[in-house]
Amino acid sequence: MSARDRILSKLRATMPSTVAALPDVAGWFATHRVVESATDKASRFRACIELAHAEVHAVTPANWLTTLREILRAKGLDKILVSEETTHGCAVLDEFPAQGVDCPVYNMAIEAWKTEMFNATPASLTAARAAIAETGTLILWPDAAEPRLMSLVPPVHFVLLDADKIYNTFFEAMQAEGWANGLPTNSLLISGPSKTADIQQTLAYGAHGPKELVVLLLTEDAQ
Amino acid sequence: MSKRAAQFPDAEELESLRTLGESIRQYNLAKLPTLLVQLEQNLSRNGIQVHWAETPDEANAIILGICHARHAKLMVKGKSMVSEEIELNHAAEAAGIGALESDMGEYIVQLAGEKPSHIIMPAIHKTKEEIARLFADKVEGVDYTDNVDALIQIGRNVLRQKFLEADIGLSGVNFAVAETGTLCLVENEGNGRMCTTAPPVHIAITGIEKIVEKLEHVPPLYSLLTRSATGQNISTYFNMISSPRKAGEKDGPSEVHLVLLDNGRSQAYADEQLRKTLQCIRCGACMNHCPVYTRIGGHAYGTTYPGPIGKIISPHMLGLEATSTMATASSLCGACGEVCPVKIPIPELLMRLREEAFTAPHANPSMVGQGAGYSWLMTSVWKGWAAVYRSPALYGVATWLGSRLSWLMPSKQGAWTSVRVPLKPAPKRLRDMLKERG
Repeated sequence: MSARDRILSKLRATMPSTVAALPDVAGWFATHRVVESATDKASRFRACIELAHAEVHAVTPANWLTTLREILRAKGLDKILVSEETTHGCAVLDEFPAQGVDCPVYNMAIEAWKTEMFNATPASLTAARAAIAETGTLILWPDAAEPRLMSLVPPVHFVLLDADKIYNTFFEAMQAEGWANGLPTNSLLISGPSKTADIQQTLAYGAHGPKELVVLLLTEDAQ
Repeated sequence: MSKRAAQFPDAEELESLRTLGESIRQYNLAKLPTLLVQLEQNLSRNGIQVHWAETPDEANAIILGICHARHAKLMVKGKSMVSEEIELNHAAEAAGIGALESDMGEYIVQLAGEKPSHIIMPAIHKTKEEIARLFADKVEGVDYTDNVDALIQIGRNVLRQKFLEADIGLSGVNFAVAETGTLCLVENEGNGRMCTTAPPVHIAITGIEKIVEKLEHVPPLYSLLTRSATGQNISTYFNMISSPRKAGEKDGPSEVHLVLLDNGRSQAYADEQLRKTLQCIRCGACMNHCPVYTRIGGHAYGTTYPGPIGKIISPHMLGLEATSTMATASSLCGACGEVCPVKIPIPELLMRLREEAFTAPHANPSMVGQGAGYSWLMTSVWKGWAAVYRSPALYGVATWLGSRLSWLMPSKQGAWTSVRVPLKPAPKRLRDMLKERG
């Protein structure tokens, strides 16, 4: 018998004969979490993620590129990794190189340029799929266009978030989007820049992931 | 403790969430073998290879086998208590494979040649000055600095290079979701994401109990975990991994493995009361609130898992022969049971383990090493004590004898008198003194 069969037969021999009732997760959220208006969700999201040390800038479709350019300048950054397969990535590619910002693209497998990604990529821009107001959390589903390391390795990570896509809770997000029917290779919740309190319980940012997380919160009208 | 309390301002909310967390864990444990098979099917369908290990040796052999097949030289490790449980670093080193801890606390502890003293904050026993000295001595080209930001930056720089070079990334698992075939990892630093994304192979290892049937079971447990562990309303990262790199994707490991470890968990599972041990989500709140742990520290337990949870899980992993006294090192104050986010009745389990360890060995024991602490003399002494204290007449005679024969007490009383004055019955009993007062 294999280890698998031995473990399973031990467990089967001793498992309870009665089936426990399915926990009522939806019921708990319905009675313990409020459903907020779009404006309230946006401000709760912003307050929570700012508390976790992220920077949030309210932008509009008309001014987000200018705002991004200004933040880059203020941070002394002249290089940003973007995707050439997304509309926002292409928008940056259309404008920034002419303004002296180097815009490498993630267009080949990481094996071909891992060292450059780790040692010479100071910033990146990706979109967030959605967000969660309760905890100030971004939801990212990295894909071929904006791969996994893009939101992890560069020390400054810019995230474009559509303010219309903020859910009240993690539970609401997974229910509304039907995550139980299938998840991608990797899905992420990100709630601030990388941090640690492992030395004498003192909080320090930029442990292994981005030191700075900058959210561009996109609404039709600037608030 | 205060940070945890601040996360749960509403007592009703906390209580109802704990009840929900408990019911989710119990529901999933009740279906454990079925869910393990479902998890295996869905992970395999997603392209993740599943391995089963009954013992730490088997788990190490599986992991090292994968390393050898890939001619791996360096493994970077995200925080995993199960990898500590199987002493993977030791086994890897013996096999000529470098195993480097990448969680800041674990990295510090490994650099010092020590083991974690806490499951969430491994280096909590060290001051920043000690860490500064350690870095200056052990990390090449580093001068002494006790600035915490600078120290973290040093760790970051060293480990970034390792993430880049590593052949294998190893991680633990916080929740394995059966219905989707997903491994969930909770962390703040990003080293877990590095280990599971940058190297070409990712190996995850977990105990067989860390499984939930439904994805919707995750949000309540995740909320309880971060709020109980560090007093954060959420961790920086929640990383859900459902497959290796697919065609067209540009990064991520091309191979993902999951090692499911038993190591005594099926023994705890077999008994209805002891099964509750497996509800644990490894938040560490029981340690933070334990008056014994907070005074003696994690290393004093001598086991991978310290504190109250360590006392109730270690006997299943190591047998009661090696752990018979663990359950007795408790005042049974009940703090651990009160803060446990999934309501494990830890004090009750400690009482049960005392009974398992100290009653005479019997047939069909529910634990390996049952009766390991049993001694005929000690049991007889306690039986005598109980008889005397139950009968007022016997008690009167015994105390009368005690006060008259107190000169018979030896002046050396073993370990007691090494730091204390000898115990001696008083010349007059309380009842005699009361009688004199009238």
